[in-house]
Amino acid sequence: MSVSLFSASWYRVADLKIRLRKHAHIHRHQYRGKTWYVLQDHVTGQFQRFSPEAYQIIGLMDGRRSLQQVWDVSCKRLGDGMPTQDEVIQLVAQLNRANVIQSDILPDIEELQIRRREQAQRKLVQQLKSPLSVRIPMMDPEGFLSSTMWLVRPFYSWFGMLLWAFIIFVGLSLSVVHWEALTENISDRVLALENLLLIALVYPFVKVIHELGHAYAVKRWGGEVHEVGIMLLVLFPVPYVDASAASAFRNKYQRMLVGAIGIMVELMVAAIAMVVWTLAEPGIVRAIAFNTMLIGGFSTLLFNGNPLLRFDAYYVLSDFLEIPNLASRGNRQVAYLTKKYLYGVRNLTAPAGSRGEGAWLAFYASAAYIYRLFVMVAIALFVASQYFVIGSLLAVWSIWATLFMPILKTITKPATDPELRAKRVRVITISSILIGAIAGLIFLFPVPYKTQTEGVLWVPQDSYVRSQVSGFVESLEVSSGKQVIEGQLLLKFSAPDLEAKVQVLQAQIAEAEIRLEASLRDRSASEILREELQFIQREYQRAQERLKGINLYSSASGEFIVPDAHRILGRYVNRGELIGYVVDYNQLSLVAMVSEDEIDQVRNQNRSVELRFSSSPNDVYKGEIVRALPATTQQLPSLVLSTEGGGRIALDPNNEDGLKSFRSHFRIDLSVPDAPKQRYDERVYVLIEHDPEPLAYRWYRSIRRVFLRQFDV
Amino acid sequence: MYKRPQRLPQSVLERPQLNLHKQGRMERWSHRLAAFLSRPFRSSLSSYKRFLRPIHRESIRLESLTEAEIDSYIAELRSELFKQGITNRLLVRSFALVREVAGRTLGMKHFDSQLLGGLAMFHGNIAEMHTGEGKTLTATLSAATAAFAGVPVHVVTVNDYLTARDAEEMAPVYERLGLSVGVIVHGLSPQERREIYAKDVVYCTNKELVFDYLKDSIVLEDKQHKLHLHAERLKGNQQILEGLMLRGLHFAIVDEADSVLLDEARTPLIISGPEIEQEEQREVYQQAMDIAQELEAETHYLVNQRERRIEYTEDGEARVLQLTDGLGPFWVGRVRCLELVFQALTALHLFIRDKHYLIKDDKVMIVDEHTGRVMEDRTWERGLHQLIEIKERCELSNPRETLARISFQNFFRFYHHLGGMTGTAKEVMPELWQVYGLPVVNIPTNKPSRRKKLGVSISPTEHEKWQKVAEGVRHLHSQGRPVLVGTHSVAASEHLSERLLKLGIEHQLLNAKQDQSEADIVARAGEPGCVTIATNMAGRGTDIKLSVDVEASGGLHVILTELHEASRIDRQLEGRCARQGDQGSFEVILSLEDTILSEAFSDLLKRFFAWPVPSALRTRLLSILMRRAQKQLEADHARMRAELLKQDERQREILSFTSSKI
Repeated sequence: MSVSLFSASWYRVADLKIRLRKHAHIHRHQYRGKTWYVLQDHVTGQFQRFSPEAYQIIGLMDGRRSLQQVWDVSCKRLGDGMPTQDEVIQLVAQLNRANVIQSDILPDIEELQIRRREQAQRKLVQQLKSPLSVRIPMMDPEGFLSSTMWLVRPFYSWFGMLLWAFIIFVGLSLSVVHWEALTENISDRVLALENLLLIALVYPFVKVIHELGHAYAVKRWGGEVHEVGIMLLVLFPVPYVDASAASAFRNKYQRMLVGAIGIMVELMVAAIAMVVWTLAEPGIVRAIAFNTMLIGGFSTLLFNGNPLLRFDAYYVLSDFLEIPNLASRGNRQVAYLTKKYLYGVRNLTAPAGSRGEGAWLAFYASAAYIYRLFVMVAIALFVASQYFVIGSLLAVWSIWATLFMPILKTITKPATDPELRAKRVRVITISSILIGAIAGLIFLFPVPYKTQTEGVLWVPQDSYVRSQVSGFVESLEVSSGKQVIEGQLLLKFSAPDLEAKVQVLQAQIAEAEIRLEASLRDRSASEILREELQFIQREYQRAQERLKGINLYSSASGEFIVPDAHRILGRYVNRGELIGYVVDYNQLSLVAMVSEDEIDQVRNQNRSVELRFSSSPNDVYKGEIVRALPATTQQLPSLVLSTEGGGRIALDPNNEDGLKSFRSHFRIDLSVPDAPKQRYDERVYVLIEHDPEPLAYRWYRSIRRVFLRQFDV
Repeated sequence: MYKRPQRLPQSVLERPQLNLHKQGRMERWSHRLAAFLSRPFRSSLSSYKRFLRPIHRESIRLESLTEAEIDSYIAELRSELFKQGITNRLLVRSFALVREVAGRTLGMKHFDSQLLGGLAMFHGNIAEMHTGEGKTLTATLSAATAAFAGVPVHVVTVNDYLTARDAEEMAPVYERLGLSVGVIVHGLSPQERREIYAKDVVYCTNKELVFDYLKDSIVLEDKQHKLHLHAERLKGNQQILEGLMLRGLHFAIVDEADSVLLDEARTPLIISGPEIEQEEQREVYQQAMDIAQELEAETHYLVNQRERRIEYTEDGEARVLQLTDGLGPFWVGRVRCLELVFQALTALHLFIRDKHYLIKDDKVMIVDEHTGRVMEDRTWERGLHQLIEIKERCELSNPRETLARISFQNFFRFYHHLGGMTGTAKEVMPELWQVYGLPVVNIPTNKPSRRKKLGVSISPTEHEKWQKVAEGVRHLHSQGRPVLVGTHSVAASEHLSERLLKLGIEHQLLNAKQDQSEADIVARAGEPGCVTIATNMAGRGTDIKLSVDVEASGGLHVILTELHEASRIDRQLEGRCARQGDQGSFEVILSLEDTILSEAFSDLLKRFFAWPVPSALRTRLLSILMRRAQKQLEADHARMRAELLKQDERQREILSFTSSKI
């Protein structure tokens, strides 16, 4: 029996006469088909939501009835839903905290002072609790907004909406047309240093427009905006505007629009920038336009447009679902569900009013938690890598506050929560089983462990057919695609210049011989001529040898492949140029590149290797590692493995022509005895299975690696 | 740590009292940390020992003074203390003076241990002095010194008997010092109280004090602030000023501090208004009782005796709603119906006659669980009292309206300066510090204790236990030694009394039913061959004087028949024998059916009892286990107090919009 109608403290309030103060207004709202009353305090800009029952009670507080009378009347009126005395006290306390009631007793100055100080303290603590988003209020923009409203008002209309849609349409179409130019090597452009500067310059402007959008939207439907300022989001200053007055709007679409308008404005700016980008010459204007697009389009959708973060989209979503305080009530709903179903506590009141609402709350809370898990870790790592000490502290604090505190609170709750203490044994048993199970899974249970990488069917250098002379291809002795054996004639070249050179050299030899004979009497001259003759003879022999190369023989057995066989005849080919390959598919080696992080496991712990060819992804072949080169290399065997060729390995951007990867990799050679090799330079997906291992070890290794790489510790 | 009382404005107008503010988490943590780090310093005596030698030096000088010289010494000291406040030098002089005067008037000079205790209390500590070390005399040191410095002192004791006794015994000292002493006991008029509270040193019981405070706050209504009162005075509203009694909460010396500050902390003290005639309620309560009796345990509700909780099952809730349907205009609203029947169930199953209440003159009287005393004029709230009256077929009283309420836990924190003394505090040191900011200083005994501990014996059943107790009593009785048997409840004491009657042993019974003759019973308890059975009300403060032949035959023998809910209470009872170096012995006789063990645990232990284990080892093991159960209970109580404190704090915050502070 947790609820009691009577309160031990009732005697202290029974005779109070209370009424609402003049600056508090009540609006009637509909949330999920139920009526709620939203109390707006025009002085502090705060809102409270009340049920119709509470509204009835507030309505009875007229400054003439005592609370006892109010309670008696409401008990009669509300019947089964009668409030308990404690609920009435709570209600009055809530109103009092919000500073919206006046009573017939003298106000206690000390008490007021304490309350004021506490409020200031709470605000400060709130800021300290979330050091990655600190708000610094700057000014009251109401005057400015009111005097400039006439400029903006026409755009907050159906006409404005159409105009917006048109601009967005134009921007979108242009971006589709210019998609390739836009996305070409985007990461390089974004992260180059000058560009970062430009982004930093453009960013405040875009965000100011965004916030103005919110502010005017609030004004448009009769609200007031009394606070703008700067928020330090992950230490980066961003303007913000207090648009909470929108909560008073009765129409939920108006509320949603106030939330969404920032994104809409930014998208519009991005669309205009798109137009500028297409029209402008390359230069600073174009660069600015590009960055504006980047911020207005890309980053807005990523951050503001994500309802899982508590930015604009969150408020839009919560207004759309008609569930205010989605996030905090979601957490409470999860706590409630845990208590009720896991711990079997009875007599709980659900934070959700209906099944649908409950489902939404629980869903949102879990999704947001998981999302936060990823984002916080990413942000923390990012900040920590920038400013090691402060960053690490900040990061640890934020991760602690947002991720672990909620869990810790649920764990330590049984000690303080009387409801849970009654079920102490069950709570402790279930919690320890759960925690034990999770810890067991992480630390003890071996999980299949695999490394994925990509390989290529690699044509070795000795299979390349290169021309040994510079000359014209005269005839193809074997047509492309035929099997050849080693030493078989493949091509004939005609090399007129080489032939001519041979003839010239022949004539020179004849001349030199004659001159040698003629100089028999002059011994010193004859020695020189002999040397000369020998030199020319050597030249001749070399030319002769090269002339042999006009008949190109296969150096290996296999299939002879000439990529453009029908155009090769009569073409002039430089010496050393690649003409084709003689490929023996069965001898083709399979090469895969393994990152430094994974090589240890791959080399020492491989149980089996599975391969799939990209041409026949459904067939799995067993293979094994024949050789793992002990040294790292940046030289890639084939373009196929690089990001340029559709693979995973990023190329070194400073090295334009070569197949040089950005990071070093280890090369492993694989053999696949039973796989039919029909193509070369084909991508192969390689899956190397290691001994199963609990997750904890793996995580420990990766965290260790991150620390080594990022912080050298 | 080193805090001394300070002179503050002292009139019913100013009423200085400490403002409690809500401690933030950081504050609480730092408090805890400070407590942990400063523990060795706080509990050390060295900071007080350095005063001993100067006091003795001054004492020697004082011994040679004539009465007239003492008078002028007093006058000078008072004016110095008034002028300078309390300095080390003046403190020494004052303590030496009080010691000398006590020696001259009572023939008892303070021992060193008492001087140390007085110093510790004076500096805002709880002095843990072993039972029988003369705490009453110790209190005079701090009380008189503070009174010299112009600080009104309240010496708070646990019951009327002790208050009157202490004040009477110490009055000569105060009188000789030129200080006025007052005693607040039950039955004084407000006008008398007002005069007594105006005296320098006031001896009072905790309950009287708190009720007077509550009455004042009812008089004050919403004019709690002193500026309000000044305004009233200017307006010429003398009525309100004349109705007030207390002059503020300056300095309190709490005797039996652990009992007052902790054990009774949870009891709310309530002042109720006049009875409200409510004829129709009678029928409603009767209906509630009928319904409650129709419900079946286990299927409709679950009773947890140990935690004193009742819970509805889902079937039970449905059944109640079904039964109450259409009963009348009062049975409207789910919560109201469930609550009424719930109260009826509570009255039926959780409140047991002669344990929680007595029936006297066809009236239900509440028994204080901690002291075993009847609490006059107290009623339970929310119909519980009426329901118990129905249960016991007594005449129905009318419900009263609450006018003011407060718990000890909150009240004593209002004091500007608080000191205390007790025989048993070491178990609750952390709690005393956390709640009241009171450190505990352990004072060594003056003479080594000669108490003989005769050990523990444990019987499997209640029956065998009583047999053993009666046997022991008879044996000692025949030897002519006085025996004091402590029982846990009124019912147990009466049960034992019957047994002794059957055995033909003459004895006296001290429980809640013989409240008045307490002083006589205690006075006789030390006579040769006298057998006294007492609930734990005799546990604290009572000083049983022994005659010479008794001392020679081995002193008083104390038998503890059940472990109480805190080992401190057991130790208090133990402290009744072998006081101040006397002889005495103490023994514990328990059974496995004692209420301290839960039923399941008791069954388990009984099974263990049957095992073939050497009996010495068995007793040892069992007594360890029973002590563990007691520890568990202590921890439960401590947690409940902490929870209540938190709840009070929350409630205070919620109710900050009301003008009255209590």
